[in-house]
Amino acid sequence: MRTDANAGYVVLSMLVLIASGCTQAPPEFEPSLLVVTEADMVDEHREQIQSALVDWFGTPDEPKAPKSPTTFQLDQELLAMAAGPAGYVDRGDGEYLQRGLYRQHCASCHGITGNGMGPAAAMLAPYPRDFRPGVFKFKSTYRAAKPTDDDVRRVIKHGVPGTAMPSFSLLDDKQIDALVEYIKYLAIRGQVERELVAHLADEFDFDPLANTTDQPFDPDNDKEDRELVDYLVAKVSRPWGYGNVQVVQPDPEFVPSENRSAAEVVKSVAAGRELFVSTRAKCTDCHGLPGSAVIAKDYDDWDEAVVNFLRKTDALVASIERREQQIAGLNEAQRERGQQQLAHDKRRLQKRKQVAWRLLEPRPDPPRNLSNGVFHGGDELIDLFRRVHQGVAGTPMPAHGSPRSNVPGSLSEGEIWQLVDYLRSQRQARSL
Amino acid sequence: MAKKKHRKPKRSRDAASLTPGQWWERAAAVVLCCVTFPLLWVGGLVTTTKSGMAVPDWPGTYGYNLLLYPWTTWLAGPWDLFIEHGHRLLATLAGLLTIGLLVLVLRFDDRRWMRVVAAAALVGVVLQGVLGGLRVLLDERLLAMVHGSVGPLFFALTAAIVVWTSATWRLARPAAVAICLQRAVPLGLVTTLLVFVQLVLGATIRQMPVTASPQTFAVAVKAHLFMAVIVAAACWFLAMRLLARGVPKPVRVFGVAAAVMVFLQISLGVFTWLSKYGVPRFAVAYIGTGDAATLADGWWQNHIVTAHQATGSALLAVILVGTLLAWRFAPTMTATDSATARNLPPTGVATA
Ligand code: HEC
Ligand code: HEC
Repeated sequence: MRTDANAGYVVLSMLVLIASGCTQAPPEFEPSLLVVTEADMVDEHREQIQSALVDWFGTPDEPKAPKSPTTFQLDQELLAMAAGPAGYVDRGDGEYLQRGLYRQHCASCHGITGNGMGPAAAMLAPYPRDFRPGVFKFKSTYRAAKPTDDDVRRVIKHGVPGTAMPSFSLLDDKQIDALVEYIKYLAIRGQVERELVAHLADEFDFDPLANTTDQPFDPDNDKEDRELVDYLVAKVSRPWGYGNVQVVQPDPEFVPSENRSAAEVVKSVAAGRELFVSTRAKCTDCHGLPGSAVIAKDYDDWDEAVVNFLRKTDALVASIERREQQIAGLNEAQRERGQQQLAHDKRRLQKRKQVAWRLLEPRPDPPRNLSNGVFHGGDELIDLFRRVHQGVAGTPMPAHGSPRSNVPGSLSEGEIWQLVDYLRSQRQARSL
Repeated sequence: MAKKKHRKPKRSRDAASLTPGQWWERAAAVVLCCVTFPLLWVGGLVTTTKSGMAVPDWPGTYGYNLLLYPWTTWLAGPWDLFIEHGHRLLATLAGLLTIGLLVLVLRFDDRRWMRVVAAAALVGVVLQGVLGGLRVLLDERLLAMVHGSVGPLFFALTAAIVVWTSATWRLARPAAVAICLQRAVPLGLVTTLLVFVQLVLGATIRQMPVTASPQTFAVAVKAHLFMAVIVAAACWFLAMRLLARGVPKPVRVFGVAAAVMVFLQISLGVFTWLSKYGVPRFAVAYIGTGDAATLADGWWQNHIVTAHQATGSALLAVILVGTLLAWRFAPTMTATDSATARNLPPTGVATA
């Protein structure tokens, strides 16, 4: 028994060692690899952007609602509820505050940064949403507008049927509010990062060949740089305050009345079907004729960016090979410059390859199979109306109604309602 | 009356052939095993519902925190209390039972190795408890993984102790016809190892930190799927050998169990994926997608996932015990034969 006890102590102390040795550092927001690499910036600027983002937005454990001069303002308390490690913190007076909702429920798919690259991502189709471009598919607003809070709330509550996005209807309203706020936060943060990268790449002086710059980006000390970030934060946040006025409201004149006769419905469905297969609406170009297979050829915006990145990388490979062959035939001065450029491009290629390896493999976004699929954005009449009206933002599914209020679209509202009737009839035929 | 004499004795083999001390020893082993399985299940449930993560302190004000845990919309509060405290109460019970078992073994079992086994069980259960506590306090993934992998090992050990303390084991005579059992033993050992590796892979997937890359997770899932095929094949061949002609009944039982459990486990695995991530795109053409999204942390999701984990442990135990019994009943084991003979309880001979 004595030896057993000794062995026990040894193992115990080993465990404590293991436990203390590998306690993880708090997770950080990842830079947007694709955007930063594409911009071909110098390392110094990259790092300065990241530290500016920490100053304005905080970290995954301690997020900050950036101060924006507009009326739109994120709620710090809700952000805190969603951020940090899962669990509770003691407020000191015996009350416990909720923390870490996002990490507990969402990060496994959407990633800590909201880049749609959580651990489970590669195994899912469609991939989880990358929030950073600030584009959302299923919403009630005009295609280019941000979703309303209710739109995001609805996605979280009901999930996206037909995809891996689950329903979180078991969470209470306060928790869902916190998650909505955090999604907006991640989206705004991501978009500000993009804007900053684009701005620095365009406006700042730097020498990509030497990887140096004489114009550091230093919002801590430089007033102009600070104002730049404030300006971009305001610019990116402002549209989030407009959601509610951007909702697509159907013209009451065309909304089908609830007590239509069966004959009227049948007529509308027939007209809708006619439209669906017509060359004017072009629905069948992608969705195929009723009953036939859909044609998946286009990518959504998220994967399209990756496709372009990979294409450019391939082009760079080809260009390097070509120039390597040509370089012998150049004169002295040209050769030196050429060699310098080649060395730089090889470094660039190296970086691009490292990034490419980490991106999710792009996959075409299949159009919905309308005769046996489930609607991802809700199957109420108004959902389908808005879907056909504004399409699905960020995907090949085009808008058919007016792009803005008072601008005519390719289909009239009356026609869209007929299509909606047709879509519903297809759906009902399936469930019978 | 005469007719009655020819009937098989009604009392169980165990009761008839074990001394009272050995009977108690065995009873303790059975109870321990029966407590350990729900312990694993509830432990899995704690992981599934992430309740363990949601409560930072241990053991202390656990109950107090629970009241604040806003799961009221999900199964009423008491159920939550049941999961959280149940795991620890069961763990404590398992610990006490292991102590009891050790005492009984030291007192009544004359097999030296059995005493070592019982002592090892106690060390194991204590370590496992400490691991569980540390896991809560330090919120360390690696600890969670180790805690989650040692659990099934301990359960398999308790199942083995049940067999080792049984009359079947003590009285087993090699079955001369069952030559195939000899070949079943190495296969069984390999299968046990494979099942355990598969459990660890499963725990890796379950405890994957949210900062892991999608590529890492994909590799783990693919490895888990690949191993599922290997394990299923191994279990199938093992079951065939355990069910071959001439194999004594106690071994056959485990042959059937291995085949059934592995099938059950694979089905649970499929449903685990469906309940968490929905229908994979390649399968949509065949089974369609549901009309609604999956419900995160819903009752079905939580229990299917937990059942998948618990059944993994049960499979490990079944394979291990089946292998042990195969070894016991395999012919030409003269050395152990004589060892058993010395251990035979006096009453055992009569009924055997
Ligand atoms: C099992 C993986 C998974 C989990 C967990 C998950 N999501 Fe998603 N989510 C997805 C997928 C996949 C999509 C993309 C659906 C699509 O493109 O049609 C998505 C899309 C979204 C969208 C965008 C919808 C739109 O209109 O574009 C939001 C918002 C969202 N998720 C929020 C959340 C929140 C908040 C959580 C945590 C409470 C969460 N998700 C948890 C997989 C997941
Ligand atoms: C350029 C190709 C294209 C055309 C043309 C097109 N669609 Fe789509 N459609 C798509 C794609 C791609 C999706 C899937 C978007 C996603 O969720 O990623 C889609 C999705 C849909 C959905 C499903 C919305 C939901 O909530 O699940 C409906 C309904 C739909 N389309 C109707 C139509 C109708 C009606 C037309 C003709 C007026 C049409 N589409 C024309 C590509 C197209």
